[in-house]
Amino acid sequence: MTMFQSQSDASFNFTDESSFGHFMTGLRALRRYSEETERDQPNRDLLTQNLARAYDNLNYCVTNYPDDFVPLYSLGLVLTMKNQFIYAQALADRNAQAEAAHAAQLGPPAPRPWPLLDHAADLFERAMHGSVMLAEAARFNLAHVYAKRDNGTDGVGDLNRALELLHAFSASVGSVPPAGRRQLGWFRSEREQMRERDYHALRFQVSILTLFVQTRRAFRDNPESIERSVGTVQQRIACEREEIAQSALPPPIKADLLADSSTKMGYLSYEAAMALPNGTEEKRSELLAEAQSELGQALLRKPNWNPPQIYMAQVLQALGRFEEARANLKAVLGNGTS
Amino acid sequence: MRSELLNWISLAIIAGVCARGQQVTFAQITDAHLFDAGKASHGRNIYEQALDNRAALHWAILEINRMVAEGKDLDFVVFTGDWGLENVQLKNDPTRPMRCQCPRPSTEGEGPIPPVTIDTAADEVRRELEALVVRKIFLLPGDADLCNGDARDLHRYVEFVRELEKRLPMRIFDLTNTVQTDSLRAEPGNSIRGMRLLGLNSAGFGSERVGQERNLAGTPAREFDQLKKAINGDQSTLIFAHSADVNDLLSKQPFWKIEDQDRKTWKEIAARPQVIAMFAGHVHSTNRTLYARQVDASWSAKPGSAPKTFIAPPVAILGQDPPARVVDTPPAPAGRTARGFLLVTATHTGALSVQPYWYVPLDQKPASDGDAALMQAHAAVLDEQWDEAANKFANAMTSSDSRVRAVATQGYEMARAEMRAWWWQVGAYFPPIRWIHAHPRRTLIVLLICLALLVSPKIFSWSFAYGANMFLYGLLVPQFRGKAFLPAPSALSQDARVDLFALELSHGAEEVRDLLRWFGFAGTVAGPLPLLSLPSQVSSALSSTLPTIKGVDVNKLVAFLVSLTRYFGWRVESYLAFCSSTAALGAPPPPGTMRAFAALRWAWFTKNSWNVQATAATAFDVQDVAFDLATRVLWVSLQ
Repeated sequence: MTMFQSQSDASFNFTDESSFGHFMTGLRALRRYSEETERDQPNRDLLTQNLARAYDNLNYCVTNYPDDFVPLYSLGLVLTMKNQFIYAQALADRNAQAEAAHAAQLGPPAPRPWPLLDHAADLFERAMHGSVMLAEAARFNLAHVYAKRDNGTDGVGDLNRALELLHAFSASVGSVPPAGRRQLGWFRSEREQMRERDYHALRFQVSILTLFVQTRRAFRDNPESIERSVGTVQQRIACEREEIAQSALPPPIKADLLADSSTKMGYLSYEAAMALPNGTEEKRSELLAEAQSELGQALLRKPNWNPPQIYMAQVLQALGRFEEARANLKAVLGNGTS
Repeated sequence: MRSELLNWISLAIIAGVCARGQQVTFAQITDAHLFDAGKASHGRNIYEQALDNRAALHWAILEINRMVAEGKDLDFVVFTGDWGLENVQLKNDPTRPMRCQCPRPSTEGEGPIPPVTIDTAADEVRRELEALVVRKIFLLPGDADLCNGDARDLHRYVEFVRELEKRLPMRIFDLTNTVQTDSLRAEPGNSIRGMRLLGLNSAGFGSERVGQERNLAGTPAREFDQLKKAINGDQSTLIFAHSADVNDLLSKQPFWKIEDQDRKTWKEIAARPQVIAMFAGHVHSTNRTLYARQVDASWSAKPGSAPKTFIAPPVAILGQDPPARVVDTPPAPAGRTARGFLLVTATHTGALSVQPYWYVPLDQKPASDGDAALMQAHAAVLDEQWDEAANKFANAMTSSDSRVRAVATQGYEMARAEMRAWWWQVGAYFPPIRWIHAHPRRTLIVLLICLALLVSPKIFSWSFAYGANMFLYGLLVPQFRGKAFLPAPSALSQDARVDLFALELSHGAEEVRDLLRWFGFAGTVAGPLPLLSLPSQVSSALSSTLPTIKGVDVNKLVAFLVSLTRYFGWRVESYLAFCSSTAALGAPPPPGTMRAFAALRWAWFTKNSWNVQATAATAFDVQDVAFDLATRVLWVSLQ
């Protein structure tokens, strides 16, 4: 749910009732998929069916009603989820091979093309330029895609693009106060309250994602100072967590934000561990333990959340604990035959 | 005191005399045709007409006498010509130039009646006029009093008037001064109660020779000149003439064949303010609406040539039998003729009372034995049932009444002529042809209606009805805000689970709202989005619990009011069908198709309608189509 950003001000225009109907059907399937992923033992058939139905309906809208940006934006989200599912499946396959080969441990997955993420990036790009009201959300999700996409060809370029988007985003979020009437709390509409809440939550998300991207680029720019980079980002994320904890946001949103920060910190620790040169096994083990700890915190705050589950599986694979990794991936991919 | 009373009495007497003196009352009789009766007739009909004309004149004299006896004060009676003197044998005077051949030599069996001498004619008229209680009688010549209507034959009229004057001294006056002109030129015209009475000798105005000798008596120039001189001062004037400057009803040609300059002179005379009215005759139409009223401008020979003119109905039967081709003149005896005389009261202020007295022979003689058949024949003619008309005319031809026989013969010939026409003969095989021919106007109207009906879908849908519907829609229908009543859906297939479908549809609306909230669009959908469903069992149970109060079934009343409320509110009318697939032997049943239809309506207006379908394993899988329809209904509220 990291990428689900609130759209309380998004323009809600549809060409006709058919577009709206398909969008709602797709949205319903997406919600069912999301609800299924939050189960301890999700049903794989339901996961794939709902994701496919969401994709089909939203893709129908995008194909037939290219000017309806809400379905277009939503399809971008579905594609990132689908990609996440494929990513988890790839990890599961690799895990099975390692188990069969009695491997000691596994390194990071090899870079590969991610066409679904490419497509999602394109859709977010269109939504960002086509709809004023969806621009912020689309920009954030586009930055998210660039921050995590690692197709092995232009990793630094993606991170730079992500940073450019986030800097523009940070400037606008930091300078523009929330729109709408400034009224006493109990007279404010639900929409007004959500807008204000979204504003604060988004500001934290942008900060965390910016730290995440900056740290990943630092890993690439200065491989020799990875440890220092990790230390720096840990301090800054700790500050963000402090601010989140002290904010007036509702507890569920606080939990989501904290889980998000833990997930990103966990992944950064994992990536740092994997990037350390040979001969630093002790430090690597420390970092992997930190990653495991952060991801565990994330799963504590938000149980059955797929991103920390997937990253946890990667950490466990790096530690050679394939059975535990399989269990984590099974919680993502579900039980079933398909 | 006594002198004052006498003064009052004197004033009252003077006032009564003055009031009486301000008006003139008279009767106008015209076109008696006593001596040329039966003209253009043959056989026994000639003599019937002679008797009929005399009977009508007797009636007119007696009717005037009856009026006087009842207290009506008539100042005079004026006869405006056409005694039929052209068929009167004048005395053999060798000094008088022979100008014409009148009476004409008669043919055996053809009209008019045999001529009589001038003495006989004068004697007969004397007998009539002697019976008249009104003392003063004015005469004018008519065209039938001159040989061929030629003004040069005025001596015929002069001799007749002189003979009458001999027989009725001090009672007969020639109003045209024609008689006096031949002797000494006295002042033309007469005056009664201060009203000037002038005669215009128009008897010769219809002759082709008129105007050739402009200074001759009876020619337009001479007569108009005399008339101009006679109208003097401010004295109110009434003009009498045999004919007026109107068109002949059959030929549409003017009665007066006069030159333009003469007509201009006449129009100037008639337009003078002293001239109150002109009274004429000479018309023999059966149309009673033409008489006793001011001549309509469309009947005038030229614009403005017959102002202030009134036409008196004729006494004679001449022209009163409808011509066979005049099919629009029904032969009803009471309305068949327009004969009689006028009773006129004129005042100096110009006020006129012109009242016709109609001579109705129905009361005086029984209908002829062929009248019924003739009437039926004319009815058939009006319906253009020519075969039936011919049969009826043939029956009427056996009548003992020669008049009926004559009319029937003409009618029969006309009916047979129509039956020889192509449309009648083709109509024997294709009857609508006859109807079309008989009713061209109705045919045109029917064609126009058919044409309108043909294009009506376009006309009514895109113009009138569409516009009216749009107007009413804008006026009556409130905005749809997502709240609608959901009547029990209709099942289009036997196993359709409509109650479940209704609940799912209602739930679907709530799910839409929930989904939008989950996705972050909670603020977008303002207000409630309910589709209110009232399951049939609950509603029927509820409606059956109300009591009957004083014989009034409250259940039905409430049900009616509820239905009315729902009708004039937003509602979603829905239909559900489940189309199952047939399974192969031993194979699991393949999924079927769930189809649902819905229309969002307010009263008789339909805002939107939808048709959705989804794959369904069983008839209970209505969730998807219900949700799909719910989204479409609620989409309308988001517009």
